[in-house]
Amino acid sequence: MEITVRTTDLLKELLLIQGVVERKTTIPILSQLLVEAGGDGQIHLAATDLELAISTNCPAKIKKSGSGAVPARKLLDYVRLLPDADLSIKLLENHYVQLRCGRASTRMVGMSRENFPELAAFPSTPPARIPGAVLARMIRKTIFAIASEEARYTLNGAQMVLKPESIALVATDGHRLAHVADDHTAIEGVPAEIRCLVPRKAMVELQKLIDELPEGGTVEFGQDETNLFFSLPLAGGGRRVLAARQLTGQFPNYEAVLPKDNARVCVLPSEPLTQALRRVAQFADERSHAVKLRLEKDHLTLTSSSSEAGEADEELDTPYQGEPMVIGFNSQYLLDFLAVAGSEEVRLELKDEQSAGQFRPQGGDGDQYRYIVMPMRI
Amino acid sequence: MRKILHIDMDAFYASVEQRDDRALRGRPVIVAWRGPRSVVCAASYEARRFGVRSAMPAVSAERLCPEAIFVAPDFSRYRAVSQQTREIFRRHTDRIEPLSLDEAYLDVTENKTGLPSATRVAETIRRQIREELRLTASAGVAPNKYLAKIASDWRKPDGLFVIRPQAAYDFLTPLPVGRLPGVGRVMEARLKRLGIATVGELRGQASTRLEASFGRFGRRLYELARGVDESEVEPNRPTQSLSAEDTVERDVRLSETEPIIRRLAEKVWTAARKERRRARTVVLKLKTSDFKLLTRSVTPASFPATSEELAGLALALRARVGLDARQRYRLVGVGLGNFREPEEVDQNRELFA
Repeated sequence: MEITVRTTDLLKELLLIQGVVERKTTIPILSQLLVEAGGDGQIHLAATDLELAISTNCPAKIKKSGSGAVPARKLLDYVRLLPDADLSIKLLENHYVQLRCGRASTRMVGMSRENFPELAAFPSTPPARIPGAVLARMIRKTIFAIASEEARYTLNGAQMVLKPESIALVATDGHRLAHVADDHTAIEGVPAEIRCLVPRKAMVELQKLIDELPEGGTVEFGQDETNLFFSLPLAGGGRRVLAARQLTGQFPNYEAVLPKDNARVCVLPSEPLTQALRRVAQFADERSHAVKLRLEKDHLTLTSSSSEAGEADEELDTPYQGEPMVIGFNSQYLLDFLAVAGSEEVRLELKDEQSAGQFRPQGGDGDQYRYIVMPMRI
Repeated sequence: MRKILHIDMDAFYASVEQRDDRALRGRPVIVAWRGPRSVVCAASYEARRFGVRSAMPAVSAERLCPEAIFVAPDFSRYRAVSQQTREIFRRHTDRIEPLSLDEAYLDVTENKTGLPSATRVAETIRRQIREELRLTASAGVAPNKYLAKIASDWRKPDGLFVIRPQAAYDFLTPLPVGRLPGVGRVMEARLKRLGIATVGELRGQASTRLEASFGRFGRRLYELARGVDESEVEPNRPTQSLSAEDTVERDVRLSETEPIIRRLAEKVWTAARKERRRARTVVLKLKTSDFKLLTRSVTPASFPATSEELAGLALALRARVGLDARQRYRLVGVGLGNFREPEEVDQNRELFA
């Protein structure tokens, strides 16, 4: 293989692909990037950590086709230091890879591509077509609620539900749940209903890929027995494809925990609430992040106290007419929601101090977005 | 000379269930959660006749005794009954060291009621438990903790056994070494290779030889063989940590440890359910085939709520071991630590309770 690429073109793809490169070198081939040059004026790049795989391509002048495995991290670190210029890449004997750019030259130790895992191909069935901007927005509104503790395995992703006229994403870590649905958007290519669990890490990588999508771009979605596939077109031709191993197991029956009769409602301006919460949270217990919300006629008081740091309180006006009550929440959970609510005001709907509270944007971008948080024992 | 009792409730959880539900009496009762990985928390004596034992997988128990009645454990009730047994103990002494909900050591060298002997105290406690709580307990009376524990097991169920100081020597002589505290399957096999199967044979060993073979534990073996155990009954000793570990028969790779970790997690979880306080830290312990000990621990934001979660956390800790995948291990352990009062941990409530 012998090719020439523009360093800036290559760097962009290397950065996008780096997230799935295995950092721990338990299986050496997984630290490698698969590079293939065919006859289509593109080089194809792929990396995998066996859970996720990303493949992409980059325009190149192909002198001689072929393929090899190159250490991904080293390649990125090196290319990053090169100026915007032409870079020639040539496979030598014994899996050496030669890089030349201007007067800089290197010989990297690669590996045989034979050892590189077989990558699953996008299924041949017609894909579902999801507007990239919608998907990105929904990921942003749910990803933070996914369990990060590896133990809660089936919660380690979000459930995606696709229907011909709607898309919904749900994520929970057992203490809170974010549910977002958009039923104004037609999803082409969905015969009836598709339900799947998208792993958290796939959502992270997908967000990065969608960021690179031109405005109005579409993400094609497909699945086979073991993988989910997200395919995004590239401006210069070709596609970037993310393949994610499906999470097995049962997503919890979340419909059962959606509050139905939370009658104590108050509406609060998002920004002042966020600011007040941030301040009060400074004095919350460092581990639990607990803040108390005291609702009384026409105002809400936030309080916190920690044995080490001290205490804080702050009052906000709200047209509240219900019974007074006090409820404790993890302030971080509330801030996570406020950061993505996307509305001037938020609705806080409560039942009592032991039952889940529901937060919703008041107005906003048209998504049906609800965030359910269990209170803390106070 | 101290006078120590070990009181051990007979098939405690199963007995409480049988006491409170007439329909269960005289029938094989197994207290366990239903589930593929669940283990038996307790088995009534009717069930034990079929070979059912606590800590065995519930599925095996079901196979051994298909007609058994499975009852889901109700620890709040067991805890309440356990509290009542403690109140009975407290009439006799304040020096009580509970080991779990169903067993405790009592130091009755001096007792509050003025009964003339430790044996009479043990008899009285057993009678009070029977009459007031309608449950049976077995008691061991001995000059120290470990002998008391061996004694309470000797006439189980509903029995009393006394090891008098002057009789301890002869009593111990024929016992297999596996009866001694700290001598597990693997230690027993090591002793056997040295030609030591009984406590009497152990006693024949010079302390220098035992120490050369077993280090500090050799010294302890030397004392145990002579019926010596200076450890005090420690009242109100809060649990600092709980763990279960297993020395495997054939050294395993990390990738092969999942079933072991799951089994140990279940065991530790069952033990932890007996605690009022809850553990925040999960520990994975491993010993390599060349005896290097390593531990990895994690303190999640919310403490583990189920045994599956505990197992999941322990399994996830394997990723942090960082040794070559070919490394083999001789011991695997799962532990819980950092116990806190439930109210100390202002806990976030569960959405899917």
